[in-house]
Amino acid sequence: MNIISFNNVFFGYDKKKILDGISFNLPKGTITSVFGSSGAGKTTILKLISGQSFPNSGTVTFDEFEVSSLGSNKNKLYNARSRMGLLFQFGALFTDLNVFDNIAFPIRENSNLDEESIHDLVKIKLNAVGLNGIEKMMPEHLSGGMARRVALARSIALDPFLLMYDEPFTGLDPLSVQIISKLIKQLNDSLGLTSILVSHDIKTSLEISDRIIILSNGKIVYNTTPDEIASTYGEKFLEFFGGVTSNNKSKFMQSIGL
Amino acid sequence: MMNFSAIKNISNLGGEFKLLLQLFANIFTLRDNKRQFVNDIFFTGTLSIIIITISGFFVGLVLGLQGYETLKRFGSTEAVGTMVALSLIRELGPVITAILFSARAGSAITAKIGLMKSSDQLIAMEMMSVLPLKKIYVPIFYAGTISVPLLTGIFCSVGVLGGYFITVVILGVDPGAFWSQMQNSVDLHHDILNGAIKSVCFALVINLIAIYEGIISKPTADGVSRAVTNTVVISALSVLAVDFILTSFMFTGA
Repeated sequence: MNIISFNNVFFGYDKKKILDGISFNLPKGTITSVFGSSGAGKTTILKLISGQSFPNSGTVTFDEFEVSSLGSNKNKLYNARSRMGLLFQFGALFTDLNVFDNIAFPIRENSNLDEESIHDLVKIKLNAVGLNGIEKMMPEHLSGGMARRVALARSIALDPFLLMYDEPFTGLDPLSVQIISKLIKQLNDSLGLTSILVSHDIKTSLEISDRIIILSNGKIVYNTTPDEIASTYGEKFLEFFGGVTSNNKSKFMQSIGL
Repeated sequence: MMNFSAIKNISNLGGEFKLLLQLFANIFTLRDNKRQFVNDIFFTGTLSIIIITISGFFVGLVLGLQGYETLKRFGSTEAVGTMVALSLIRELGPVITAILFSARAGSAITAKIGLMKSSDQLIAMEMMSVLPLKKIYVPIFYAGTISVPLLTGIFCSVGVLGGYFITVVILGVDPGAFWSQMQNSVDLHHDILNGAIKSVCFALVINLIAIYEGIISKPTADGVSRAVTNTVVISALSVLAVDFILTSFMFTGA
């Protein structure tokens, strides 16, 4: 069963074409990484799924919702959004709320639970990302890795089906990168989620991904598994990484762990 | 270039009007955000009390001093209380409070919304099915709109005390004459109510501008700093323009 389906999606601003007729499906329970050079339209894919932008033509479907047609139906769009979580590049924690209130925010706004239940739920979510005893801390006192984990706890607060990660490893130290990547895998498997991550950290992303999508010039040049790409990489794949020629490709592939 | 700038200004006016309608239409959502509303009254109003009080006192001192020196020539220094009170209540109180408020709280509102935008907090909120309009803009708009008239009241009261201090305590004007002349000439409806209406109008204008500038700010350090500057400049000019229009209706021909 597919959680996300893109069907011949075109997207662009003015004369600039960003996505040029892309189609793909995300099967339930998988982790998919989207790669591409800067401006290739990776983050646009997340925006189209979450209804922050709408395609010029084509359809985007999430679960039972055709998100691409919900521009004028805010209630239905919000209903769809309550089933997805998005981890922003730098966490986007609310800076005037402490950790507890940040995680409790979506629960308070979208449910009628009493404070005691919210308290328990926040504890569970913090435990799920391996954090304890930091409920009273303000976001400015958290390290980059911790802030990202708190944001992750907030993203899973409403038990979404789909979790989207926008550059989850950017600006983190190697240890935090490992922690976050393990968390992505762990949460996906233990909560039965479907995950899509947009990243420049190819090596780390490949380690945890079930599928990879590579974008170039607005088109999907690869939609495959990490294993397949290892055996069938071709010129387009190498072109995407830039400067990789057939002479040094084996060394390069080794360096990204393939 | 000229045309582009004109189009941009007109489209901003349209955007502000649309936002104002949305803020009015969503007033009842305040019920769900009482805590935020109270916090925003503190953020915009309570934190502005000190600057308003001190400024009011100094403006009262200056008015008292200037009024005394002028009225002395005509031998009617006891009318200085009337002059101080009417100047404050009709004009200086609402106008100076509004301009100080836009510099102190309006700029803070713009910076807050601009920074929330640039750090993806507003989009994050929308991703949680929460409208920033209801959660952020409506509470802060009405908090600011309530704060300005109250601050104007404080400004005028402290200003009158400042005038009393300089003229009665320092310059020796008769205190009985100071208060009784003021009492006789300040009319509840014509002066105080009109002053209050002015301050409510200014409050609507400056809070609307502050929120709107935050919303349309570019999500960069430079963009937010420009938006804050715009808030203060546009608010000050708008307050003076609106003041002229209101004064021409309220205090002429009566």
